[in-house]
Amino acid sequence: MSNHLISLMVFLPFVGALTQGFLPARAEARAAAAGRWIALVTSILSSLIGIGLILSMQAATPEMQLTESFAWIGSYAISYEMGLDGLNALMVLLVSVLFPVLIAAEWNQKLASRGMYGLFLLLQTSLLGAICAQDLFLQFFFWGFSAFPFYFLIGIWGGENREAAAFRSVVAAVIGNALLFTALLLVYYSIDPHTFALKELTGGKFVGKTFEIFGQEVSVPLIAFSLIGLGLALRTPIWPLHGWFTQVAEEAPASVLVALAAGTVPVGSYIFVRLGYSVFPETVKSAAQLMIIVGTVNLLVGAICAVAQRGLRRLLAFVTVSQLGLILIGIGSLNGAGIVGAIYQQLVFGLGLAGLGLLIGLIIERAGHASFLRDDGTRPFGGLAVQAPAIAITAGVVMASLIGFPGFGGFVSQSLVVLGSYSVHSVNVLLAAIGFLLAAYYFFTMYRLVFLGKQGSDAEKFQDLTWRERAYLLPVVAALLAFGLYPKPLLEVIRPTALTLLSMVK
Amino acid sequence: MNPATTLPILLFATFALLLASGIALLVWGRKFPRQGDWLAWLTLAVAAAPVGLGFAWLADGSLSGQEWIRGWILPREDAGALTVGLALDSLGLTGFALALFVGTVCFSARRLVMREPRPERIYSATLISISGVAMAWISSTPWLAMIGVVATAFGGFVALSSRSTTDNGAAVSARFAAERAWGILFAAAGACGLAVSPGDALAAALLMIGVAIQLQPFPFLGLLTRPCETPAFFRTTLIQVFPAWAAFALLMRMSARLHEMGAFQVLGWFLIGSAVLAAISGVTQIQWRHAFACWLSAAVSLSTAILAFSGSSAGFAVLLGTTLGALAIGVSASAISTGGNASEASAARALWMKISAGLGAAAATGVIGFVTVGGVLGWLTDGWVIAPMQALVFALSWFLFSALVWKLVSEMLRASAGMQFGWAAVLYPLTLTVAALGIVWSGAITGGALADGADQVTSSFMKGLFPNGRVSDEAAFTAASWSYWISVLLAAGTGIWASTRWKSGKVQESSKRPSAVMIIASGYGVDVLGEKALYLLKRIAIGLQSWVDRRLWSEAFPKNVSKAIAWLAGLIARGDERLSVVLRQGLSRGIEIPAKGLQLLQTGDVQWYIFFAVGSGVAMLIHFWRT
Repeated sequence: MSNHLISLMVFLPFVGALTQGFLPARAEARAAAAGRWIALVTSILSSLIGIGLILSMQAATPEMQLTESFAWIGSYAISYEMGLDGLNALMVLLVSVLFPVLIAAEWNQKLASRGMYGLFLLLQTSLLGAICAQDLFLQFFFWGFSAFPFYFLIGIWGGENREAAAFRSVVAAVIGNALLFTALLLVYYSIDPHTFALKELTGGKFVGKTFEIFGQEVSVPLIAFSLIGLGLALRTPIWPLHGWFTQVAEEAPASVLVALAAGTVPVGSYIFVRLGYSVFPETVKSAAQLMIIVGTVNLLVGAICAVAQRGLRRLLAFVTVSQLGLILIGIGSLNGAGIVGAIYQQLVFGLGLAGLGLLIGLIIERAGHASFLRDDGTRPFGGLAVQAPAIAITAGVVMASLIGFPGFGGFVSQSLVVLGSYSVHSVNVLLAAIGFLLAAYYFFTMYRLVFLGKQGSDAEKFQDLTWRERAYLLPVVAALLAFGLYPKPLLEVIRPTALTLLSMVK
Repeated sequence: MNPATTLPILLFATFALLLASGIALLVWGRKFPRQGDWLAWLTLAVAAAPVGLGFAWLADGSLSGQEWIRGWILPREDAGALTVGLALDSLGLTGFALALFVGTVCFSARRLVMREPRPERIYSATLISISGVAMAWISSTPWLAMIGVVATAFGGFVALSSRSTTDNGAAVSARFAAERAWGILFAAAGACGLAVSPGDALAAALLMIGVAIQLQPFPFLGLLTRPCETPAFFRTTLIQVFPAWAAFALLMRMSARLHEMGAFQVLGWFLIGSAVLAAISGVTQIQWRHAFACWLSAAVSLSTAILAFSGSSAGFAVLLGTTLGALAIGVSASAISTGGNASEASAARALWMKISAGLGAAAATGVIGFVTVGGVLGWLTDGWVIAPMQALVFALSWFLFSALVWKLVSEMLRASAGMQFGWAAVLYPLTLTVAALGIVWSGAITGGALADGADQVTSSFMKGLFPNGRVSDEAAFTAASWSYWISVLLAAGTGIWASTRWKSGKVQESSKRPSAVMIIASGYGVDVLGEKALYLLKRIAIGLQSWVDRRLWSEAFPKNVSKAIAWLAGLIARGDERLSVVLRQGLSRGIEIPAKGLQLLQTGDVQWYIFFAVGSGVAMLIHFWRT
């Protein structure tokens, strides 16, 4: 049984989505309640399996663990291969924490709630599948699929301009996926015998492989890596390809924004690390400097743009862009600590953004908007720390982690990335430090305008967290604190895999 | 029970308890005030236990300054691993005990606390800050000390948030938090850099800048000169003294390494410059409390500079004297500022409070008998050994610093003659000044004013803390003593004289202050520069958004892509149309010609045998043409 646990974890939400989708529509209120519970229970069960799998992993080995493998489309050497190692274990943990929380956050959803839960469950399945898949085609299948729930989630439950935002998101995703798929085909046809299995593609098998276009020899790894990078950059909003994301941030429901920023973005960056380091080690080595530059630009530009924001939604969008930069710096550092930091950052940045996004959702639910500074310079909120101390404290913890205060999750990843990249890229680290300083500025400015000072007009009837809200925010806050104070167990899981991948590059 | 393994567990448990109690008070203190009081006092009492136990174990030799160290981020043996360690020595425990002592004084000043809009926040801030100071002093690696610094910054933020229901209070709290966060981020980046590149100058600079920010030096004086309603005592303790103690401890533990790199002296000079600027800014302040905050910034800057130039013993002595003196002045100022009717009893209490404030100033400026003297004299002696000019610069900075505090205390002494607080309140500043006496620390009546220790009456506790004693140069000590006493006396005279000439209250009404003075008073115009930089940054951000988000992705890209698609579609449609025409024409020709012939045949216009004849004729012609 143990070797099917990954599949069980991946497909349980899918089964949940189907089950609640087929509930009879006659008694809608009852069906909605049953759907809600089915969604929550299946999502939690999947998460518990995920956490159980991580706990059962051996820490000191770089090997793929708990693997499952069988032929899927034999004629094209496409197999169903799943497994966990130090690279993806934390992503499983992130998704496991995230989705039950999101379903709980939308507990009182009135509009077609079953549809929303179903789409969240499909998203959970697709992201978990993309994380655990060890076959390129299978990974692409899950990853590509993950774009479509977003289209509906934004298009149905979004704000005024939801259709445009949903359309833009899906266009970006389709273009990104097309580029990724082209790269996959290039990889598939460049190796003999043709295969999509990651374990067979691992270890620089494409070094020196070329193909001809108009009489010119073109390097396969370079083209494939570039296509993968560009394809993923479109879906994980790398500046300046982030335009769709800021629009989605303004229109999507807060929970969907969380799923996108805290779910898809870290998973996209994980796929980049997995494919880059294992399939194209030589290309990663030569592109490292570029990755560092792109990462630094993202970190700085994201931070600068965040300074000018007046609304929490767009602030979150630019925080995402900025924090993603740190992951890129870690990946490009070609250093054990740097890569471990990048992987850890995927987890803690996901959790931090989840916390921030959920708080935005709570504020929107209570006030109807998430703008903290009006155009005329007045503020709608202010003084929420008195009205809603629990919200203020939660926001403080989330902010502390995103800024990178010692003792919080963000500090561990930030310090590891700095440790990994300082000796070679000290100028970039210095520039990145400016991004951190700006982060402290814009977060504390936002905190002052929302939580401190005189009460604004929209803050008067503001209620503190309900027990349900406390219950779903608790795992996020607790994780940020626990992963900041005692990161050792997770780092021990990541390190062997990260060092093995690094040895391939070097 | 093995003390070396038990004490770390106890200490960590105490840190956790202090933090947890502080947070519990922050969250539930308003709902349960009585229980909150109990919790605060109980936590203090419990926290004192491991300190006492630690000293007892150190005294009986079962814990001889051992170190407990573990890998925190990455395994300990890895290059660049971030480790957390505890220095189980008397210095760390002394820092912890001092924090507990000041915390107890804070809690004892209950009537002062109760005047705060959110008293539970003062309790909470005190407990959190004590845990931070304790962590920083006991830590043997920079990382745990940094968590301590974070805790003190958080404590300060919580204290300020007691008044953050006003917009001004909120602005002060947020700015305090942002500045401290910058310091912490700089320090963390620098420490990481040093972990992987020991000896790296840039990393050392980042670390020192980060730690120095916690001392609130120039160019961060702007915050000190902003209106802030938090009482002087809490502001002094929780916003300035506790964070400075934590930062000082971090630098003290790293001083050997920073000295090796030659970076510490640079920091020392910077801090001396900063202290001078802070003192000058303090002189130009309108409000007494702003001037006092500037003076305290100068005090902790000078203490740290002395640490950089003359080592831990001298730096610690000056830090003790100046900060305990500052706390005494702060608590006196807070009590006196509340005023009251000048009945006989209240006038007597006010008099004693003023005496206490004077003693606080004496402790802070190193009047004979206080622990400060030894530290400052050591510093000046070291300066004299290197170059007399250096010693004179030191003495000049000490003069400015001392003059300011004497001016402030003289102004305070002329303040209200009544006091609402009881006699117990008079004890707080007195206790603080007694704790700064030289005899308590160095065992010498004069506090170290005599070179040969002729006034030594008991064994020196300082020698236990800093066993590596200093070698003193007698001639330099004599010269230093002269320059010191001259500067102290001149400072006291100048300060008292200045208090009669430029009294803060009178200047306050004057609207004709020169603009240069206004700039100095505002912290040298750094805030204005900062605001301009921020404005520029926002313009850049708006420009980036406008160009990239709006013009590129929302306008140009969709417009051009739709244009391109429309053009391509038009091209294909036109081609399709033309092809259709050509096909239609070809088809119609292909069909129409035979159809016409058939029609001619059908209508009888052309007889079919004519076709046959013509056809036969053509066939014969072809045949003969070929042959």
